[in-house]
Amino acid sequence: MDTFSVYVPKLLSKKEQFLSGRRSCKGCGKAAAARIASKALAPTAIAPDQVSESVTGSVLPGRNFAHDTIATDALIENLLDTVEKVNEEAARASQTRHKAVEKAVIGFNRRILEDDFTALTRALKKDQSALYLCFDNEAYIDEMLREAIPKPFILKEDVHPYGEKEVARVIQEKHMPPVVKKSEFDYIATSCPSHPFDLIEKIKKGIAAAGNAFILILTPCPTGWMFPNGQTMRMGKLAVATGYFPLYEIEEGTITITQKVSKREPVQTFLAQQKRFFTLPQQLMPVIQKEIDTFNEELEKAGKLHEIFK
Amino acid sequence: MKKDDIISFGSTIPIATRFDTNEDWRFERPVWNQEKCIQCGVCFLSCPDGAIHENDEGYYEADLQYCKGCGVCIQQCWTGCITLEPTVERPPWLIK
Repeated sequence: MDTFSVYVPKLLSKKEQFLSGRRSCKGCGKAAAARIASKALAPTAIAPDQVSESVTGSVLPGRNFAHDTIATDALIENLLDTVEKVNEEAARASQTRHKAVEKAVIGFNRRILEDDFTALTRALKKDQSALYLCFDNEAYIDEMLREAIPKPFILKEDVHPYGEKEVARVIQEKHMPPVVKKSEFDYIATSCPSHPFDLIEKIKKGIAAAGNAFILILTPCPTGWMFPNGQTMRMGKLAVATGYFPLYEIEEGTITITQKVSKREPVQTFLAQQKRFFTLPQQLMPVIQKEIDTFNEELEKAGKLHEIFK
Repeated sequence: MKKDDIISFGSTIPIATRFDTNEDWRFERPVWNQEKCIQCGVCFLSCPDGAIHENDEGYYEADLQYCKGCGVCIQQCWTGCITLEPTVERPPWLIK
């Protein structure tokens, strides 16, 4: 937002492609991100019915924007297959190499990468390239969160203390899921709906990329993170300002930081405002701070992909 | 953690609602002060429900059928021209 003039939102399309009246919570970050993405894809995007209709509350007949629980291997593969078929038919009808669908855009929850991790790797082997939007609201059992839950008093066993190694792994996986590090993408980026024009630019770049592209989007969640529901965008800005979730992009192996933070705020300010962390042991705070500092410094120094993703 | 803190976090999701509107989700509705408004459209961009639209004069207003009263637009507004106006009485366990 800082690099743009105040009146830039006027340039976006007025036509609403995003359905109002869903059953998502008040101030939902994921809904905001999906809406901004729909603005970026505005005049050309099509969302098939089976995909866009399903779950924010699966049982209720609300209109929804994303598939949260039923997305499996089969669904993603079916989508890519249908895109391929439609393209073949269009080419046959027009006798040219005209493509009806330029690129498939698939949005899914981060939880799928943990549960059905084969979905992404199998989809990547197909000829059809796609842009993958991964919405991460950190609400699936987050490891930091799981550690924050106090043990029941009946349990009398030696619990492995949550040390520096575990925290380091969790923090590194937050910035980019390990599946993405192993596989090959032409364009990788992180983004957040609190910086809407950053997100829009990255989606446009992801579509323009030759091969597969992956964008990890942090979506603050008032219900899961436990903060007042008007503060969604402010939480996203804090996550970027503290270095908890730095915004960067990787084009052809070279890293550029898109939102430069001159002086990072302490992570304490970000974590203390979320009630989900209020049982987190206080002695872990300096460890988390140290890990975030080292990651940010590495990111600033590193010029190439392999230097940061080991 | 005090009792007040427990009340203030998170969002309130009604258990039984009507499905044609989101009216019963909100306790307040956003009101624009047109003297302060600079018509930048940040509220329109940041609304998670797509409930804010531009009227014929160029000012913005909320579609009260879909507005849930979350208050993201108020937090994002540059000039602070949006305020929340109570529409219904809050239930006693949700009074801030």
